[in-house]
Amino acid sequence: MAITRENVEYIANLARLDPKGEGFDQIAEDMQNIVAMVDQLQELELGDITDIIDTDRKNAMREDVPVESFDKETILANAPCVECGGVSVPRVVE
Amino acid sequence: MELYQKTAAELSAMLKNKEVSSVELTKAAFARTAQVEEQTGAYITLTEEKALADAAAIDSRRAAGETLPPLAGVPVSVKDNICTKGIRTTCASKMLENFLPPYNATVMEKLDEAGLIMTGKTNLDEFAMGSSCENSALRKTRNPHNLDRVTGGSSGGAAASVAAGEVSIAVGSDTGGSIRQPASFCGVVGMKPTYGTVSRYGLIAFASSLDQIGPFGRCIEDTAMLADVLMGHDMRDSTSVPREYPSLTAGLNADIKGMKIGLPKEYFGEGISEEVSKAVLAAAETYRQLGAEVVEISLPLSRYALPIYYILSSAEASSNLARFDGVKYGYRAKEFDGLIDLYVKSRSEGFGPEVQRRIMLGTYVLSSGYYDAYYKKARAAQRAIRADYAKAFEQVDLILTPTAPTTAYKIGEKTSDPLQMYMGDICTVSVNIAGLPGLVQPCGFDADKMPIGMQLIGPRFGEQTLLNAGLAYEKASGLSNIVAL
Repeated sequence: MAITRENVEYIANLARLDPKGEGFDQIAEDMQNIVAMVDQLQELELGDITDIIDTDRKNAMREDVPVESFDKETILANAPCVECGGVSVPRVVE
Repeated sequence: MELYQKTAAELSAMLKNKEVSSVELTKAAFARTAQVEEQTGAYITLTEEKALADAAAIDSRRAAGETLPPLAGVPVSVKDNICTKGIRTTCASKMLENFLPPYNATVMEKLDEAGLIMTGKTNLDEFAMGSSCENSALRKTRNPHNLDRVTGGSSGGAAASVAAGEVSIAVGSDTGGSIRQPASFCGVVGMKPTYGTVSRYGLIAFASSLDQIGPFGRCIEDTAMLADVLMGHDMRDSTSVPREYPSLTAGLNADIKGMKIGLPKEYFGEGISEEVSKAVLAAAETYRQLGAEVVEISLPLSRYALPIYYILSSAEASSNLARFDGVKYGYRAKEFDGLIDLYVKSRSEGFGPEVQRRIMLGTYVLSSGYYDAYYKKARAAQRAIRADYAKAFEQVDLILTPTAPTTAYKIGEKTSDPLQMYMGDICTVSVNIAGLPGLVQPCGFDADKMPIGMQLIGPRFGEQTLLNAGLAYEKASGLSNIVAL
């Protein structure tokens, strides 16, 4: 399945990457070869093997007990922009 | 013999006998680092002040008569994708260049409990995506055996720090070969434990179903000692396996008479350099002489391991790395027009080209119309690969293969062709796909004096058998504790 430039731009949009960003043309070009490589998988015949894996495996459950978490200041310490005790982002609703 | 040339086991004995203090060892580690770091570039961050304080605390406890764990007071380096509370954890990315984690990874707590002294955070390919350490956005790391060559990756800094004698042991992580291939390139020992045996809590996720933390050392015993510290069940990682974790160090036994070792024919053909093949086959011969039975086996799906790996790992990466959006933490673009543009610019400026390639591939294989053909099929093929291995382990105890098609290549040689770089992972990725343990150790040198590494693959939870077979070969070959530079 060859991947077109249009397709690459569509994927970039889904991934929130900038198709006009520095070096992206090269990435778009590399995608051709990388997709061709993963396409080799199409020739593999798997018979009745499906993607349902490890049906014998159980979920790791634990009791729902409250545990100590981080305070707000600790978490906000890494935020790039903080205003009024919260993470600041550009206006979303006009 | 200088302190930096000693193994962790030797240092542990010296500490116990009070022939040396942890402060002296830590100072010696930093003195060696000052001597070679400019050449190797193993570290992104050095934590000398904290290390000396930690070492002094261990010395006080020992002086007070406390019985300490075996590795207490021994310096160790940690890969910079493992969260260290209040200590910069960058993933070698501009995205996390100034990130100070508010918590420690479980393995950091385990290192602390065992009294190990962290010397600093080592370099890697950005977000552990790469096979040469050249994708680091922050540092250039060079192979201590030849400074014009790559270290391998992604745990290139970890491997270099051990190979150059900056430390005797290091903690790395392995998603598709990221411990084993740099161990091979740098002439040291590295083990990727069974999936689920080392907690991933606090390991910055690349591909959660494949990622596994593991140890580096310059000999099998050191690798076993560090594995004993790292392994164990953790409530905070839902994929962590609740079971007994008996001491691998205590279980070491070099008698391998009667062990059955398989050589998969698919790993010795086209694409594998003759020198590498020869060295690994010579190791098989050594095993025969030691009383093991060596038989040819087949892993027919090996040729599909690369597409399966790149589909699954990139799909998971695209999802895991969605959290880096310039909002809550990490890099935020300086100029943007609205919220969506903030995401797009922050990600495009913050991630390097390889990370963007993987996010693109992952988004593609998960996107509507392509999901069944790629992701779903790769998941099914993953089952088939597991079945392939299960069948092999009905015949043999262990599998012996090369670690990489070649020895360490020149810096810059493969950077312009990502696909060529991916091909270098052909011998290691299926071990992650199947969730198995893999051990790599030196088995010779090529004509350019670059180390060649062999890989032993075991069944799930087969670490003890792996290490025993590794020890037997190490003793027979004498290829142990190789310090470069």
